[in-house]
Amino acid sequence: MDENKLKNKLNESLNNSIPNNSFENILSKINEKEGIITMKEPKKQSKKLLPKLSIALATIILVLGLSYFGYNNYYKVDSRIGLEVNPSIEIEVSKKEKVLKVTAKNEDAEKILEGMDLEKTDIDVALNAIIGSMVTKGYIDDLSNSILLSVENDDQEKGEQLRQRLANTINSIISADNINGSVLSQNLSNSNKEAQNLAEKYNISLGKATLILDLLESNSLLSEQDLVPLSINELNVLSTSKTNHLDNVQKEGTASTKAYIDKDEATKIALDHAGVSNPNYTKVEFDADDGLIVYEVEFTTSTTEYDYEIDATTGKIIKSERERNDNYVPNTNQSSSNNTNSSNNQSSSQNTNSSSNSNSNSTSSSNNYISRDKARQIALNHAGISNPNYIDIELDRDDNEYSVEFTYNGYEYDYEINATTGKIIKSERERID
Amino acid sequence: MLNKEPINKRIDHKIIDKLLFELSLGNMESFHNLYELTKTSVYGYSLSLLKNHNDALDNMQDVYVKIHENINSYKSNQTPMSWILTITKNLALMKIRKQKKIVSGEINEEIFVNDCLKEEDKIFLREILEKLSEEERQIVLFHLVAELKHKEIAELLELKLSTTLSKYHRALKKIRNEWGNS
Repeated sequence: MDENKLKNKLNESLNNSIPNNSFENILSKINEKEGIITMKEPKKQSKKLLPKLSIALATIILVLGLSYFGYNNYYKVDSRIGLEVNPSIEIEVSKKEKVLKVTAKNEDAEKILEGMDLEKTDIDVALNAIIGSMVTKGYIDDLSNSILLSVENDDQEKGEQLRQRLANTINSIISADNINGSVLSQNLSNSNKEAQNLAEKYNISLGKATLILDLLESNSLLSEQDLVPLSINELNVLSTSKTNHLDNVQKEGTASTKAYIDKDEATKIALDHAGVSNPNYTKVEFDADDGLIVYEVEFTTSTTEYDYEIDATTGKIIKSERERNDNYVPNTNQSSSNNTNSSNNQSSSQNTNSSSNSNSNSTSSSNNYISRDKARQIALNHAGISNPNYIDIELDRDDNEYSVEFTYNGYEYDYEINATTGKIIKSERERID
Repeated sequence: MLNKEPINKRIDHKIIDKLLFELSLGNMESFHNLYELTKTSVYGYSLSLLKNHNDALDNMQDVYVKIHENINSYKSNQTPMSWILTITKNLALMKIRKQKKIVSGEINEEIFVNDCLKEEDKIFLREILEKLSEEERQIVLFHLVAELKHKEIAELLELKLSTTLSKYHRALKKIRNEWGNS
């Protein structure tokens, strides 16, 4: 069975399994959901807030056990408080807000807690000691100023009050050290199974897991693997980008970006690399790539779209991509499948209005393709490589282009080549780690 | 109009991007076209992850509900098919976690309960699902059904390009061995 036959068969078999009424079901699910949303409207959270935050993470988890008699007020865990910067610490507190137990959740936290005996002190005193030690030992400073505080308490209202009070306390402790801190705070629910699973999977605190899920919720393109290795400050920086926001986390202060080059520098690196001086349009945003904070820099010229990823710490170019700009104009009529195909057929002189010039449609374009070898040669010549490791060449008849992909010496290359003229439409090179 | 379309539609990033854009303006007809164009991929990927027809169908519907709900967080310019497939994966994984159901390697019989399936299709899909590893299955579906390029597949699965290419060719070989040249 050849590739095309397999393709048809696979599509056909899958397609046959989808009932005809599925789309109607989707519409009614949407309607149902919107109905519910309308009813709940007054409860909708007004928390898309605060564009910026920073400082390592403090998670405070308070578990409120229902104590039955007065005696238990002193010895029973009422709330659980998580603090996370990079050191990750959990504090159990009684109903009277006395510290029952402090646990170091990672090695950095052990250093922080070394020699401290905080049992039976007030929670405020304990916070003072712990955060003071984080500052002294350099975990909270101007470069990394974010703390995550997570509070877990069965009584929502009480948990919320405690969260507010402790967030303020932490803020004032940090500012007493002349650091502009950024405190992220959230209430945790012990019924959030998704967060618990994520925390277990990566061995991170429930607070950090909850924060990561919040970010993932807002941007489906980010992945767990992108975010788990990041510090609270890095996650905080990321949440400042336009596409990301935190719905369930309160932010105070601004994430420090002092460890990074600034946006202008990142833009300049990308423009210099591309040899472009006057882009029409530029966009620069923080993004995460595999545990690294990067700037995503996008810009266009009249002929080309560029997309760069720049390591925000070192300024190194992680990814560069360029693609011919075919002035794609969203078009409101329905017969979508025919319009966009013809735009790649001609060279740049004609690319002003792609929607109408279907001078050469399927009839004429079928025969005069350049050969696969030729396409391969064009791509390899452009890359300056003679013997790539793997190479895959595909002819896309609808778009009238060859796609040539290969790897060489730690880089991936991706070319799109006009199948008639041999002109390079897109070239991309990216490091493989 | 639904059933007349040829199965072999082209999945073109630009068209999908345009449909998503129109959906963000509230155009439900574009939403319908988007569905027709991408449903096979979304269903196929769901089936590959959940290994059960009913769950896959359910997941597919949830994906479109989610797309409709989150259309404003879609930023143009990215590969829209990857966006849709990422949503598909996230929802499927969430489903697995929620059900606390560990989907084992074996194929759930329910996949065959569907009356729409011809005997031949059932056997074929079963072979594909059973004979290939999770990753091979995804790569084959992404390339042949979702029509992603190997480069895009590599990004989506966080693999090296060379890995996806070699896995893809290995998977084709397996299928060929199973089905001969029929």
